[in-house]
Amino acid sequence: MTLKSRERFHRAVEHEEPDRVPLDVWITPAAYEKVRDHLGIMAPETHEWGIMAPLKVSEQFLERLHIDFRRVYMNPSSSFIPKTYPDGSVDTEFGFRGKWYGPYWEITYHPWAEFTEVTEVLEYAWPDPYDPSRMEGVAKWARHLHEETDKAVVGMVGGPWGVFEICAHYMRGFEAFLIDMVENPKLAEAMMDKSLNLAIEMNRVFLDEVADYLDIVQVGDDLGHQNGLIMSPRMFRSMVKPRLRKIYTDIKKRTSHIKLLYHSCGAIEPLIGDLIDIGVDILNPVQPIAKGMDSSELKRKYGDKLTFHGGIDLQQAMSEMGDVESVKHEVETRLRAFAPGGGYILSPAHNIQPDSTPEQILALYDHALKKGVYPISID
Amino acid sequence: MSESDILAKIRKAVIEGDRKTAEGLTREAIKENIPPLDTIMKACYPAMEKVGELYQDGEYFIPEMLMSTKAFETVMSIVEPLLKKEGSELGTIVIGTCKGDIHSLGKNLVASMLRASGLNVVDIGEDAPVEKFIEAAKESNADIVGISALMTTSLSSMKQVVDAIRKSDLDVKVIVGGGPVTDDFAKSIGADGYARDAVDAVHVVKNDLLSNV
Repeated sequence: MTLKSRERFHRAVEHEEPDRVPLDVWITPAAYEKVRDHLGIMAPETHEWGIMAPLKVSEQFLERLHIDFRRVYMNPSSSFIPKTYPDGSVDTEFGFRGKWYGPYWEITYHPWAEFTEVTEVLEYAWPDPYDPSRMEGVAKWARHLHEETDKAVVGMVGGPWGVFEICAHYMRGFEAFLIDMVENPKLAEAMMDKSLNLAIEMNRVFLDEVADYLDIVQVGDDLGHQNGLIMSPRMFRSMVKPRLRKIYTDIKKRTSHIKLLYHSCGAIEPLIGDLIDIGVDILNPVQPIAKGMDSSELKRKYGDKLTFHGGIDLQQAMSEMGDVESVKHEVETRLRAFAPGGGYILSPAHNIQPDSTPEQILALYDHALKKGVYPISID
Repeated sequence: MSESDILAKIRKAVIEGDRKTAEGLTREAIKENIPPLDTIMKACYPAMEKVGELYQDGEYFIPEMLMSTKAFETVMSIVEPLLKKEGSELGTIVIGTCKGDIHSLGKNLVASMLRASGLNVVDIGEDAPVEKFIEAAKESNADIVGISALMTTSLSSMKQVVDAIRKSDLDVKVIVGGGPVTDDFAKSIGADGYARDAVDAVHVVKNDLLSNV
């Protein structure tokens, strides 16, 4: 029996075994272009697919990789015209600026970097969430995906995904914001509240029009690094968690049928219980070689409450240190750990990086398609 | 206050990340004619070592580590100018994040820890081209070159730096580290040392690399 993608996804998140493990992809523009050209795909690139950098991909590419998901993005405002600065950086409507360093668009200007007073944060002008151009064509696309395809539909919100990363990585600067959290918590909290309010408004604008067509809403806030948490669990619980809860409760209030997919890189095991507590249904990317993120252990501890999305290691198996064989081995390792009983969506543990070869990328998806058939049987 | 009291209090202020107190105490130490090298070796270094332990034990996280680093840098900014005259450095290391990678946090923590342990550290910043590593090593007459990378995609430029060093007439040891770097990878590109984190970096530099210079 072959299920349709959406049904496959729903069974998986209900912790039942569908016909096979659902597949998703996150990918950098550079890796995408290489695999697209390798496959000789010339089809029009009609699907927005960027995370952390703009990217459009074709339906044919998604089909070739057996992807069970399609995405709906909120538009940036059409009235915003980005400026290019003398150092080559370009601004965004939120006010931070970035610049390409090789394959990565890195942030080079943080608009809140010099703030010392809460009033400066309060007075900062965010872009207008209610600008009608944000939703132009969006509901139509979402309805098309929901009614005319059998894919599971992922809603990509237009504002901040959370409250910490937007401040630390984008608006204030990482070091400065972490120091604020200790030395000037009032300022840090004002920044997070400012972000929270924008997130809630943006989410409402988006979900009021498209919620009925979505299966997933994708959010996140990066809390981990390779070997541990960025901040202590105590600091997370007192300053960040209550704010994330507000954003995610508001999403769920409007969309009780929707599953919440939360992204955080790194070694975040000590906070997984907290994430479940604030409404997270699907955890991405379960970075497999981060400390304490052993896949079998995570499945054993949280597998009954959480669906895992990701898992395929990009730091070794899919990197230039690995090859096609190591990718196949990696796929089997994750399937064995995460797939039994459902609750697993196989995907790379972040955007596929430019050092993954087209052969590695295709091996990942073709092997996952072959070995991900239930009941999982891998020697 | 006795010398050992002042140094103990500086140590405590650095561990607790209390910049203001650390600054006042350091000025007092100078007034009391405590040798700057003692302030570094008896207060800063053990403090940062303790911070490293607290971090590795999961009691400190990045914010606490940063606060301590700031307090440490405050102390160093006061005593470092006095130190040069004493010629007390154990050795010189050029450190940078390699081309194509603008990540500074890990590299900065390593630089701070090495400074605290008495090395002269020449930080050439991020996105540093191969030539910059070579030039800085020549200019500073370095004993060691440290290369950091956060992205797997920067690993090829890390290798290029090692290759260029080996081809040059520089007689330096190379230590590498950062998110995607492993001991095996370090060996495969011909580095002399690999460090897991900032505490490990101090250990490798002092015990393995400098002793063989």
